Amino acid sequence: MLEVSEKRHFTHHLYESIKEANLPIGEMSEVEDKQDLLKKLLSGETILLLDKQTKALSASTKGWRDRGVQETTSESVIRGPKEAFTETIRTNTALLRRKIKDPNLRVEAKTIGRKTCTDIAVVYLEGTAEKEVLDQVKERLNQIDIDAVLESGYIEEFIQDAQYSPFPTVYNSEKPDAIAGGILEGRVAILIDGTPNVLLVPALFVNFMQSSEDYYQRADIGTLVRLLRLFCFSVALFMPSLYIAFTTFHQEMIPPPLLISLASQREGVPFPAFVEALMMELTFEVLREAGVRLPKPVGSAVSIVGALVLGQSAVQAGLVSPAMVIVVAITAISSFVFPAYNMAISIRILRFPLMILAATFGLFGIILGMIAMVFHLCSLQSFGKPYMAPLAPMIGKDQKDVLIRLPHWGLLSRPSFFTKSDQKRVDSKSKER
Amino acid sequence: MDNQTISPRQFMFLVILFSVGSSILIVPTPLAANAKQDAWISISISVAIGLLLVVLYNHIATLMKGQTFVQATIAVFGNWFGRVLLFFYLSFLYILASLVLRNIGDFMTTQIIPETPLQFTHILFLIVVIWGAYLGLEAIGRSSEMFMPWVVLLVFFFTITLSPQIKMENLQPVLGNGIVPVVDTSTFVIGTPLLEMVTFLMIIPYVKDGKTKKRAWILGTFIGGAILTLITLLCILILGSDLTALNTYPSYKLAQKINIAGFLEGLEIIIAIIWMITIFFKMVVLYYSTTVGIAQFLTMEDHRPLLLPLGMGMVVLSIIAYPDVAYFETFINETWFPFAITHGLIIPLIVWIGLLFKSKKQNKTQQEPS
Amino acid sequence: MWSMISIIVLALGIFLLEFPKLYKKNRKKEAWFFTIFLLSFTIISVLESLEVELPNPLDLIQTFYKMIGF
Repeated sequence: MLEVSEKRHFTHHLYESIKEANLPIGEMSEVEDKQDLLKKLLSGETILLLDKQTKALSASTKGWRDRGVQETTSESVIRGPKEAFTETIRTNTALLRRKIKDPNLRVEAKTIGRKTCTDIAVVYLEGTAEKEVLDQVKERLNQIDIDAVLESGYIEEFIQDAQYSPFPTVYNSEKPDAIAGGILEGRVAILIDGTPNVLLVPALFVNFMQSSEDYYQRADIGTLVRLLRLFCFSVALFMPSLYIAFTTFHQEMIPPPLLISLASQREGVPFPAFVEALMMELTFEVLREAGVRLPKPVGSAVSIVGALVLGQSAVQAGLVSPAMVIVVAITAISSFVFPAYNMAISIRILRFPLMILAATFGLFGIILGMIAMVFHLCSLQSFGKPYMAPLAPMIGKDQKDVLIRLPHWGLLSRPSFFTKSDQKRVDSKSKER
Repeated sequence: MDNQTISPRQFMFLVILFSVGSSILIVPTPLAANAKQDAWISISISVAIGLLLVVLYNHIATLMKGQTFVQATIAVFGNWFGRVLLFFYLSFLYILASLVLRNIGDFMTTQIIPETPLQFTHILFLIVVIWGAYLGLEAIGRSSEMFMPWVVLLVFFFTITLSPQIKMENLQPVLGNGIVPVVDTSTFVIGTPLLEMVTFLMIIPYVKDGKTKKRAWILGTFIGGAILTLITLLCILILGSDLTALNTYPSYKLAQKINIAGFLEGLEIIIAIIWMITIFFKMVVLYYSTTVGIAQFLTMEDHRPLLLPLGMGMVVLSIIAYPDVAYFETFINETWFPFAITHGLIIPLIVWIGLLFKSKKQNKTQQEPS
Repeated sequence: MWSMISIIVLALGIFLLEFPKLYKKNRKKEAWFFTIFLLSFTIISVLESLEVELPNPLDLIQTFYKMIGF
């Protein structure tokens, strides 16, 4: 009787000493029930069971195979860091920590997914991130009950504000510098294990028009590139519909020499401009989708087919007019300008209803379509922030980093629509010479 | 309805767009016909009177204490007499909205898309208006901030590109026909758009409080009036009063005269777009206030279910409203002013007096216990 | 004929769009007013599409103001 209790006392002592000091492993936790133990074992942890102890020790010895930090494939830049997030959440948080060495950077872990038990980390700057936004993020994450989470898209659809909108209200990027920049503005990042795409909320319309490179090039260049992107936004959205409207309804508004040249081109074309445009736009969408899915060695074949067969031959065969090919080409190239792929998709989608409106009501239809779109954009919200801020509602002092970008010494404060506290960014004395 | 608010600046933008919308198309013609080269003087007179009117509206708005015009009227005059007044007020707004709809429809089908039947133009326009009213006041206010810079920019562009063609002699002789026709004609602009501003008594309770709240309405009216004056002045300076009076849409005709360095022509479409946007905002404000007003009149909680059915009625009303332009011209020249005075001045005055009595009574009952 | 059918289809569409929402929230008054407005305006629209001469409220207003001397 005495022996047994002594033994138990001894193992307990051993257990405590192992837990406290003797294992040189960073992450240690106690496990008390079998279910939990199994889960930990299956996620790659080492379990230490001691005789006559009701608790077990679990050491984090996870060692996934990963592909290491590589160059980004979807958001390439000329100047600036080229690294991208990986599929491993630990690596990703380390990449962020390396950029922001502030003690206030918080990483809150969570698991979502009954079967996959996917690790999720909410990363933010304590004191800078707005509490309301943070609470909303946590609340929405806690509500999710799903069996599997394989990619950040699963989470995005649960937490986004507007379910029925072509416009994205959650930003995602695989570039650590873009995410770190967002966190420094007071936004909240959501990292999901198993995917390099990290979510960032709240996301406003202007965020999708900006690239992290805008901050690395000199300010004047950054500004010009942003204005160019805005121009491309309108071209990608309105160009085909304007072409349809002008050639079918408002010929009198085209300058006569141009009208003559357009008319002579369209002479042999058997279709109305709308069908012609729709055909070419659809063809282009097909080509683009094929280009994404193709194995790399076959890729050049598609570009030959696309450029030669569909472009040149369609014109020579008299199926479409050369002007139409130019319009489609400009539209297509303009839609590649956006740094955010999900915004480019919404523009691609919206182009088609606008084309239908242009074919039925001409410019009147296009303008009404545009007004309806702006009203929709103005009614959207992302985690309580108006989507079109700081343009509507207009916030004067935040214009410094929206359509234009002031030099870094001029960006004195953080954007006020993300954070009200901890506004100071640059000390105004740092430019004195 | 649903506690959406707009900022004073957004409110001011809405007032500007409201006063420019549709008036910009229909005002210059009758003004030039009656006041000849002095049309711009009569429009300035009416803007000055309009500012006084807005002071009255502002005063009513303060007395309403956060209630809309409909709620306040019912509170003051009770269910029976209040509702009789409101029936007239709301039907005024509804008729006004359908006339504005007809204006844009007429403009579009005569100038921009002659192939399209009138009713389809109206239906498409109204669908987008309903969409705007469905999204609520916040979206309307924010969108006004998105479009306002463009309107201002293009009015500037318009003025600058036309300035080489200005012929000062078109203005002379100043007051050549005496002051009487000038003052007489000013009633026209008071009728549209200034008395129509009574609509904003439905919007102003939703404007956030602030120092600029009162100023917003006055400043907005002033800027809107200034734009109207500028466009009328340009019409007379460039086209001359006779040609202005002959054209149905002189401000559009004016845009056709833009010619930059001999190759940039046909820019009138841009101007048409700007007029369309201003009319759209006028329409959305009118439609929103009408449906909210009717919903509050019927003590409903939400105005959204009414949007589509009332829209159906509006399309029909806008088409049967007048058979031809001649009918519209006699209506707008002869009947509109007394019609607008009744609903834009007399009804608000009655409510104002009622509100004054009520607040005095309240003050007394508050003072007595102390 | 076709315009009449499309008006009725449109009215049915509006009804199906709005009515279930009101019914679910148990807003009887709203549902009533909505139905009354929709029904009356559908009838008016159908009459208009059949080119029946509808009374114009503007005529009424004009005669009223002429009567009192404008």
